[in-house]
Amino acid sequence: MTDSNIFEKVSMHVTRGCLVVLINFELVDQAIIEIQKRILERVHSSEVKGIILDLSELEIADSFLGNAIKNIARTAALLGTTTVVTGLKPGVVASLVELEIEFENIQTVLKLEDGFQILTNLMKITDRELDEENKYEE
Amino acid sequence: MGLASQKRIMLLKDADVIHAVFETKQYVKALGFTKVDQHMIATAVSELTKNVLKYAQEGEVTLNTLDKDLKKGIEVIVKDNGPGILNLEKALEDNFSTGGTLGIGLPGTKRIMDEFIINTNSSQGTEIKTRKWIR
Amino acid sequence: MNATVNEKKLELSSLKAMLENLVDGVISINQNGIIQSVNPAVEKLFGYHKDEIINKNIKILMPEPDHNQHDQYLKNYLTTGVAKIIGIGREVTGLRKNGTTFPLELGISEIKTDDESVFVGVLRDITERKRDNELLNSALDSLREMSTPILVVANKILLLPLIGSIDSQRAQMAMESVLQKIQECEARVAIIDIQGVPGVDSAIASHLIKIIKATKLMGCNCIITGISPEVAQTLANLGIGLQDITTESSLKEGLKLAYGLLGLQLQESKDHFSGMASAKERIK
Repeated sequence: MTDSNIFEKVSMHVTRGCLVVLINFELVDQAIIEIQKRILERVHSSEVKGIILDLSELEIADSFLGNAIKNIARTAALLGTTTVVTGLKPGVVASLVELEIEFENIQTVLKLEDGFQILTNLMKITDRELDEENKYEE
Repeated sequence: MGLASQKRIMLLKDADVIHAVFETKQYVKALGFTKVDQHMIATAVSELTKNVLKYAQEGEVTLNTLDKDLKKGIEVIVKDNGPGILNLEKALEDNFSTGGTLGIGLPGTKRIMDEFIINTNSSQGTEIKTRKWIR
Repeated sequence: MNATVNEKKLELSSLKAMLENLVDGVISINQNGIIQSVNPAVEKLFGYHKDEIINKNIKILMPEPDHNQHDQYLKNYLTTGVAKIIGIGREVTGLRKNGTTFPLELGISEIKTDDESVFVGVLRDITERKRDNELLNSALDSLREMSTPILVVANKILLLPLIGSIDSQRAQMAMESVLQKIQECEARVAIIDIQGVPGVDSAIASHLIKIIKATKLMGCNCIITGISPEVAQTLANLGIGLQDITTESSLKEGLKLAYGLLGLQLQESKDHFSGMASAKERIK
């Protein structure tokens, strides 16, 4: 699959300080690897504080995709970014559970709006912590 | 009389997996599986067909309708002429893989489906026959 | 001599009487598929007089696709000897004179004479059995639905009371309906009450854990209520920890916690405050 082809299917943009990635088609493994790479490049180069993986349109999630999502979250965490997965469908959830793929440190919520809420709250907390640290330094 | 429509999909390249998954979804939907089951069975087919490409390079998947007295279901047969699975017992354990990725496909698939039979040897490749009944 | 001939005659006539009165249809065909004889039941099943079908090809009694392929089926068997139906028996569809079709169960046996084969088919109308099966199926369906009811106890709070023993099929049903319901009502808390589950062994526990994991993936908090001391003991003995799982002894406590999680107030005056306090404790 060519790059242009992938990006007809996957939209990626920064909104309210978060990188929102909408995956709405089943993708071949190679494309998943490519997207994983692009998300992490984007996180590294821009100042996003959170990633929202919107999977509300996705109907099938096999172990490859499940593990890719875990990898994204793990690597993003090392880059100081939190990942939230939104909109998992019942069928996708049931498959992930049967495949024993655990999203240990990834928050999952139904609605995109809730995803923003979680990340915005986190950002506020970190901002406040930073402010307080600055205070002590003064 | 006769078997209801059988579907056969050749597996030669990555995109064939997507095709197989799509065909499976349509097939089980027509059979009357619930939405969750539709997605789970399609996921199982995704796991199995990806294994074929990863370990055997090519193969085929066949979808059959099962109709037995009170029950209706689907049979998925995935066949290849690859090197076979050497350590079958291990391959069915969670977190085992020889292919470079996490090998959770097989046990997970087994959990998703109701019946699961593997025939594998190094000269004739691997055939996985698996079934799920409509609840 | 005469006696044996008479015996033979008697035997034949009793056989004939049996065939005449049999509820099942019996048809014999030659190896070209031409009908040689039928019993009265066949006339009744298909609505033909026997004179209309004897010496006709058997395919007259079959709808498509078998109608067109039966000659080939026969030829295949006679050349390869591979039986697809002979000696096996299976469900097929019959075509009546008036054009309607019906399901029937067919068993075929082959009678070989010196130079020819005759095939005898015994057929039974299974319309009623099929209908009964369907009725039974739909009854079973509604029974299963009733066995995993899901209640919306408040805005965004679901309750799944599990009653009776849980096998993997029921667990799957329960998981599926809970997930659908969570999506439908955008629920935030799911309470699973297992007070009505007689014994929780490791299999049931693993089903429960799956359901809990799934509800979490749906963005839901999951509370298990109604764990008896015995069950807790069993789980501990089995080495199953419920560390990451929120549990409450009673459904009432579970509900309080659920309200607390949503920042709602329980419409109950007395121990309202203690309930809220414990909910807050737990959220921390």
